[in-house]
Amino acid sequence: MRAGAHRAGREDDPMQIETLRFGRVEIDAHKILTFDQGLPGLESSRRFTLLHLEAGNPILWLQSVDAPEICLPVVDSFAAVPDYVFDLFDEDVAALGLDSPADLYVLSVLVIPQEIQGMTANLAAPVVINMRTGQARQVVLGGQEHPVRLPIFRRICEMMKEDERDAGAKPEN
Amino acid sequence: MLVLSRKINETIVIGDDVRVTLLGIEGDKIKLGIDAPRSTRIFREELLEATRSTNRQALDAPLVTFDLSRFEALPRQD
Repeated sequence: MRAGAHRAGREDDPMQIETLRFGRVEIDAHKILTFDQGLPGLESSRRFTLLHLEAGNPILWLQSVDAPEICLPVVDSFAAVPDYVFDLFDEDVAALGLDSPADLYVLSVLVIPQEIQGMTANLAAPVVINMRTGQARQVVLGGQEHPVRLPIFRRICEMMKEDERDAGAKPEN
Repeated sequence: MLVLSRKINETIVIGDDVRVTLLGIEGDKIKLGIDAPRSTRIFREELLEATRSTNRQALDAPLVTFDLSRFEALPRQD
């Protein structure tokens, strides 16, 4: 499922935010994601936006709109792990206002050490986004045994190569 | 905390909708079966703590960029 982080049908509403990693960034206020419960461990921040460092890079950055230093690397979960399957609790489906799977966009938080080949993805707690409303939650999954730290470096490199092939672009430095 | 002992296949009822059954014992592990409506959030406690700590660790990530000429991932030295 490859939904992009864009909600169609409305004009851009530009606003500037401060970020520690990227400096001052202009974002579209319509694309702000609202986490009604914040993120586990980082509950102070409720509003986030998704930033792309460069085209074709599968690693996206979930940047707090209000706290410049809160920025987490994430990856499209289903693109990274095509056989990833989980059930959502009814309470989360209701809170997110999800009425169609087409509105669903799921991200996994990455832990990237200084030795980046050791990067891992948290499949046990997906970030679940309703693209239509911008509501989001990071849901700790019950029952299913998904890893908290799935080694993901190899898969990220594959995704980047797949994207290059699909784009048909010449590689550039 | 309410403390109960159960033998295998015995059940505890919680509220109107939740039933917990001891399904088996293997060494130091027990297997629990939980019958509850999908509206009830049930998860292993350690997963929440593990998610908190991975989220906090995620903040320390270096920016990762790709050297497309060699399809290599590199930490960005900004």
